[in-house]
Amino acid sequence: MEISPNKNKRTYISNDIIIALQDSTIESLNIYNQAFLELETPLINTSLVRGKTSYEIPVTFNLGGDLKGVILCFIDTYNKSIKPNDIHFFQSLFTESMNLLLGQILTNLDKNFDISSFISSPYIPNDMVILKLLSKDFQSQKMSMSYKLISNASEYNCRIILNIQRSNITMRFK
Amino acid sequence: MDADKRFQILLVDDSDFTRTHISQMLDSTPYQVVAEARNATEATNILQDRSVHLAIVDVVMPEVSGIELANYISENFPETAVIMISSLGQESIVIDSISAGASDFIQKPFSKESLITAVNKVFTTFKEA
Repeated sequence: MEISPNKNKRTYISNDIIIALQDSTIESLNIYNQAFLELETPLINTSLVRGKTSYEIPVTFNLGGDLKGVILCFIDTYNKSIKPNDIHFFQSLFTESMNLLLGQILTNLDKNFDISSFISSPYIPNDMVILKLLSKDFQSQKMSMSYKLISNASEYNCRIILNIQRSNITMRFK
Repeated sequence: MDADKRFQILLVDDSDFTRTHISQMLDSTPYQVVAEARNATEATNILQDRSVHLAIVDVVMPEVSGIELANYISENFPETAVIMISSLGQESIVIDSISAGASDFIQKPFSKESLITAVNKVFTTFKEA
């Protein structure tokens, strides 16, 4: 953990690790030809994160290994019509898309920067957990990025918030 | 191949989407998905009731990991081959998978061709045995 020049603000991971994470993100991902993810907003440090709206569906992954924390993902269904019979498939598609995306990022992180981290199986957090994770009082380094999920000619905004609580490593490059 | 004795596969993945998609990929191949499981407990219950030639197992699953399941299958159902799949492609995961007795490892998302190539290899080994 470093103390930044602003003594009121703690950082939990070094700038090198932040850069490594940014360099490990991907521009796009084909989800078995059923959907596509396209990067909208690259990964950046975030201090304030807006709360979950009632139109957002959440999914969460625990992060372990060299980096520890929690990753929150939301898909925005505002103004989208999803038939009741399709909701389960849609949620499963979103969850697996985030799983595949995060898997690729962490694989890149390991391959290019020798930072080995893993995600848990996904789970749906309750509102209290979400509030806590998004709160500025929750002690973590927050980074966020956004993607568009394109499926069946519809586009959905997805935002991903990384809450990194600590790292066990000093930077080493392959 | 005798239709009653097609190469029989068990899918083990907590993602409904992934299980559905793998089943669709294997449609109209000589390989038959005969059962699906969402977790290791369901998988072991299925294997206790029926034998399968191959289990395709996700590495990351709730409670009991795919690696632990692969170990269990190797020890208790040695006639069942295992292919591990995962969104994570770290070398350590591949090594752990093979050490647990898996015949192959495929990183998700994979193409139909990659999947069938991996299953073909296992099937060929099975035929030669």
